[in-house]
Amino acid sequence: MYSAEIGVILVTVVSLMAWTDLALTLAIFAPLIPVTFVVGHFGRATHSQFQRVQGRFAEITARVQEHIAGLRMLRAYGQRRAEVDRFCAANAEYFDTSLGLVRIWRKFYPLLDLLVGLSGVAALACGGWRVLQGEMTVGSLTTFLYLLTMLAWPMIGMGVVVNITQRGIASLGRLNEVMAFRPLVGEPSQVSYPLRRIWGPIAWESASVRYAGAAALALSNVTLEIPRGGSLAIIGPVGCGKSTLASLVPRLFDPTAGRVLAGGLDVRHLPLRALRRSVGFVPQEPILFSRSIADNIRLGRPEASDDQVRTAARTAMLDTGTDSFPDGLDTLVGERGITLSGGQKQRVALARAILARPGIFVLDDATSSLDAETERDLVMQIRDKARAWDLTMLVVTHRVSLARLVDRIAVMAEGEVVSVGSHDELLASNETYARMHERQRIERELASP
Amino acid sequence: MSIGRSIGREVAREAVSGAASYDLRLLRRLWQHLRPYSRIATLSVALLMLNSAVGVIPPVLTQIAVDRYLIPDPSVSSPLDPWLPQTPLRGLAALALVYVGTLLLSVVSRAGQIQAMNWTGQRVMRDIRERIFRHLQRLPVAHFDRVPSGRLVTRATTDVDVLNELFTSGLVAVAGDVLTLVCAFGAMMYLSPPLTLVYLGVAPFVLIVSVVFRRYARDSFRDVRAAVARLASFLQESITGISEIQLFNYEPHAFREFSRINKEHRGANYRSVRAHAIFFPVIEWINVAGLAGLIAFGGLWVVEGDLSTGILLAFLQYGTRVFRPIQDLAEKYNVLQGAMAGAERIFGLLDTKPPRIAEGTFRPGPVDRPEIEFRNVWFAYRGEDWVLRDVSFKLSEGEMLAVVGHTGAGKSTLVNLLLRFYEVQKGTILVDGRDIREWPTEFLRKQFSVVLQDPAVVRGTVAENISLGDGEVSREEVRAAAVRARLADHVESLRRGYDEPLSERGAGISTGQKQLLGFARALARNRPFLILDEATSSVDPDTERRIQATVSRVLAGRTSMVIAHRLSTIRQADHIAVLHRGRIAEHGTHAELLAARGIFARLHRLQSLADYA
Repeated sequence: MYSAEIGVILVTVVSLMAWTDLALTLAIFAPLIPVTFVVGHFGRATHSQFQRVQGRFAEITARVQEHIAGLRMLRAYGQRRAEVDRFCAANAEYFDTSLGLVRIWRKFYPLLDLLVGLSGVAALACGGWRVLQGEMTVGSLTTFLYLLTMLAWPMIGMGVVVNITQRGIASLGRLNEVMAFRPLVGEPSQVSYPLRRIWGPIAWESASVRYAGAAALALSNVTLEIPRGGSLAIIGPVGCGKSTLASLVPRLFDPTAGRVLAGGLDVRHLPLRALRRSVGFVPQEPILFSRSIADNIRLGRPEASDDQVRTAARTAMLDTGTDSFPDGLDTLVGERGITLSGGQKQRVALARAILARPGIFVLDDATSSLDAETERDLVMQIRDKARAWDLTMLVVTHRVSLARLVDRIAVMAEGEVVSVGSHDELLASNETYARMHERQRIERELASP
Repeated sequence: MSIGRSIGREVAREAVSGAASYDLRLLRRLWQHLRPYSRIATLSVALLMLNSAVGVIPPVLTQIAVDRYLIPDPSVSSPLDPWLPQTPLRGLAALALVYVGTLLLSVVSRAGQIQAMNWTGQRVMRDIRERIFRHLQRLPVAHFDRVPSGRLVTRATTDVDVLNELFTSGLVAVAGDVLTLVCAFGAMMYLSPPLTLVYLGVAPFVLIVSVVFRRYARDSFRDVRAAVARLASFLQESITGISEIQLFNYEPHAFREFSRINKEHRGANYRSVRAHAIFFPVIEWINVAGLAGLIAFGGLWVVEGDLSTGILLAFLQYGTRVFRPIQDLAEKYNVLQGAMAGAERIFGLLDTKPPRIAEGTFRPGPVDRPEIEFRNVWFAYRGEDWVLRDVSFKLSEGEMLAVVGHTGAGKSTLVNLLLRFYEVQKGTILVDGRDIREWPTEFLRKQFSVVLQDPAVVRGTVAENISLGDGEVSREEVRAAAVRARLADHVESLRRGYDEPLSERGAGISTGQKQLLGFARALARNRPFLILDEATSSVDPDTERRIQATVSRVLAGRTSMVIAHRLSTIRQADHIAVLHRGRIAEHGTHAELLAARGIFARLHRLQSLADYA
C-alpha cells in the first residue's frame, strides 16, 4: 500500500520534472538517490542496536523482580547498598546502550537533512543558472522548487518501507514457528469406533509415562481396572504419579508405552470430542474464566438452562446465595468481578463436570481445598449420584478419609501401584497406607480446637 | 513465571485506565528531575531554536535570487544586499554558498541537538529509575507483601520508558514544531504582512479540524488500547485455562469469542485509521486552499506591481513547510497523554511514604552477651487477628532453641519480628539485653546469619550468591563456606565453577542445592546469632543427608533459633518451644516434652511418620 503510494508519487513527480527539464532533474536528483540507502542502512543499524537496548531492559526488569523475590533474605543480610550498586550498574549499562542508539540517530537525521538540502541548493543554483541562460522560465523554476518539496518525503519513505518489510519478514518467521507446532494429542487419523458417549469400565494396561527430559518414569507399567459403575481411589505422596495416571483417561497426554481403555476400547481410537465429552475431569487447581459463575459452569454444555445449572451447582454443594455471591449465579468472576476461594473454585469446577453429564468421573485431588467434613459429604453425594447413574468414578487424593469412601483403593509410590484393596484390607496389609492413616488422624487432632 | 504473568496483567489493566488528564503539576515535578542537567537541557533548546531559525532561511534565499537576479525588482531590498555581487551569475553562486552554509549550520545544530536532548532524557530516566529503586529499599517488607510485585516492577521499568518518550519525542518535538511555526510565520511577516494575512485566512479551519481530530483520535486511540488489553487478557486466560477448554470441548466457542474480540480490535483500529485518513487529506486540502489563496492574491499583487515574484515564491515554499508541524502537533497529543499517565503512576509510588520507624541511635560495640529474649510479644498482621499471643522465651549464649508447631502456628512471624520486617505491637524483643527498637536496623540485622525457608537466588555467579557481593566475604571464605555446606562438589562440577551464573528462574541449581546455598551464605559470615527457618519441601535422599549434616555443622556452638521440621534438627536443640495457635503451649527439653505426651509428642509422632512416608 504504502510503497505503492510512494511509487506513484515518485513516478509522477519525476516524469513531470524530467518533462520540464531533464538536465536539471538529474542535477537535483543526484543528492536524493543516496537517501534511500542511507535510510535503509541506518534503519538496520537502529534495529540491531534497539535489540541490544531491549536486552539491557530485560536485565533491569529481572534485577527488580529478583530483588523483590529475595527481599527478606537480602534485607536480613543487609544488602541494601550492594543491591543498589548492582541495580545502578545495570541501569548505567542500559543508559550506555541507549546512547549507542542516539549515536546512530545523531548521524542519521542530520545526514538526511543535508542530502535533502543539497538538492534544494542544486535546484536554486542550477535552476537559476538556466533561467539566466534563458533556457527556462521563472515559472518552470517555481514548479521545480515546489515539486522538490514533494519528493523529499517519498525518498525517505522508501527506506522506511525496506525496514518495515524486513521486520515483517522476521515476525512472519516467528509466527510460522508457532504454526508449525503439531498437537501431541489429536483426533485419531482413523476413528475405529464412532461413538458419541463412552462409559466404563476403565482399564490401564501396562501404562508407562516418561515426561520429556525426565530420567525416571512418572508412571511405570501400571495395570489397573475400574468396572463400569464402580469407583476407585488412588492415594500416595506428592509426585508418586497419581495425577499422571488420571490424566491419561481424557487424553491430556498419551502413555509412552502401554494403553488405556475406556468402555473396553483404546482411547486413542475413540473420537476425541466424544471421549472428552464423556470424561468429567476435575483438576486440583481449576481455572475459572472472567465471566459469570453460571457461564463458567456451562463450559461443557453451553446450551444448558438456568435450572440445570442450578441443579448442578446444588449437587456440587456450591452455595450460590447472595452471602457468597452478590448477584448469585450471575456474579462475575475475575478482575472485574469477585475472587473466589480455592474451595469455591473447586466446587464450580465440580458443577461444571456434573453439568456436562459425563459417563466417567475423574476427580484429580479436586476437593483438596475443602475442609475434611465438607469434602466427605460432597464426595459421598457425588458417589451416590454416580452409582445411581451408572457412572465410573476415579478419585485421586492424598487423604485417607476420602479414599475410604469409594469401592477400592490403589496405593501408589514412585510411579508404581504398590497395593490395591479395600480400606480395611490395606490398613492390615500395607504399612505405608497404615502410616498415612495414622498421620492424618493426628493432624486432624492437632487442627481441631 | 507468576511475576511475568502479573506484569502482563498489570500492563493490560493500566492500559485501560490510561485516561489521566494533562497536568501542569506533573510537568513541574519532571522539571525538578531535569534541573541538575539544566545547562545541557538549555543547550539542547538553544540548538533547537537555532535549527528552527536556520530552517526558514532557504525560501528567503530563493526570494533574493529571484528578485535580485532573475526578475530584478528594484523595490525589494534585503539585508544581504551590501555583500552580494552585482553580476547575476556570481550572485547566484554566492547565494548557493550561503545556502550550503545554512545547511551546514542546520546539520551541526541538529546533530548537537539530538545528542544533547537524548543524553539529557536518558540521564533523567536513569536518575528516576535509580530513585525508584532506592525508594523501594526504604519501603517496609509489609508493603511488598501487600502490593503485587508485578506492579512495582512495572514502575521502575516500563513506566519510566514511557516517560522518556514524553520527554524526547513528546515535549521536545512539540517545542521544535512550535518553534518552526513561529520562525516561519516570523519570516513570512517580514517578507509581506498582507500576504501572511491572506495565508492566515485558513488558520481557523486548521484549528477547528485539528481540535475535532484530536478529540476523535484520542477516543479511538483509547479504544485501540482497550481492545489490545482485552485481546491480551483473553489470550492469557485461554492459555492458562487451555486444559479446561480442551477437556470440555470448548474450543469452537472459545474461538468464536476470540473472533468477536478480534473483530472489536480491528474495528477500533479501523476507526483510528479512518480518523487519520480523513484528517490528513482534509488538512492537505486546506493547505492547498491556502496556497490557492496565495497564488490568487499574490499573483494579482505581482501583476499589479505591489508584490515581487520572489516573495510569492518564498511564500509558496513556506506554505508546504508549515503544515508538517501542524499535523505532528495534533498527533503528539496522544503520546503525551499516555506518558502523563505513566508519570502519574511513578510519582504515586515515589509519594508512598515509608512509615516512620523509630531508628535506634545507639552504636553498640561488639555484642558481649549474645542473648535473645521475647517478652510478652503480641502481633497481628491485620487488626485484632492475633498471630502471636503473649509469647515469651529466652535464648542464652551458645544455646539452640527449636520452635516447632503446626502449619500456621505463627513460627515464621517470630523471624519477621526479630529481624524487624514487621513491628511488634505489644511487648518487647531484646537482643543483647536491649530492646531491638533501640538498635539501628541495619546494625541489628548484621548480628544474624539467616537461612530462610526459600533461599532466594540473586542474579549473579555462584560466588556472588554466597558472598552477596558486599565485599565482606572474601573469595577464600566463599570457597570454605561452600565446602562446609557440602555444596562444593556440585559447584566444581559446573562448567565455570564459582563463576557460573545463576538466576532465580534459571536452571543449574535444584531446590535442595538452593537450601545448601542458603547454608553456605550463613557459614560464610561469622555472626553472633543464627536464625534457621527450615524448608519443608522434600528433596532427594542424598541431598537430604547433606542438609542434615550441614545443619548440625551450622548450628554447632552458635546461639541459634531454629524453626524446625526435621526430627534430626529438633533432637539437637537444647530446648524446644511448641507454638500452638499463637501461644507457647509447651516448653522444655526433648525428653521432657515427649514424656508430657502433649502436642509435641503428637507433632513428633507425625514427623516420624512423615519422615518415612
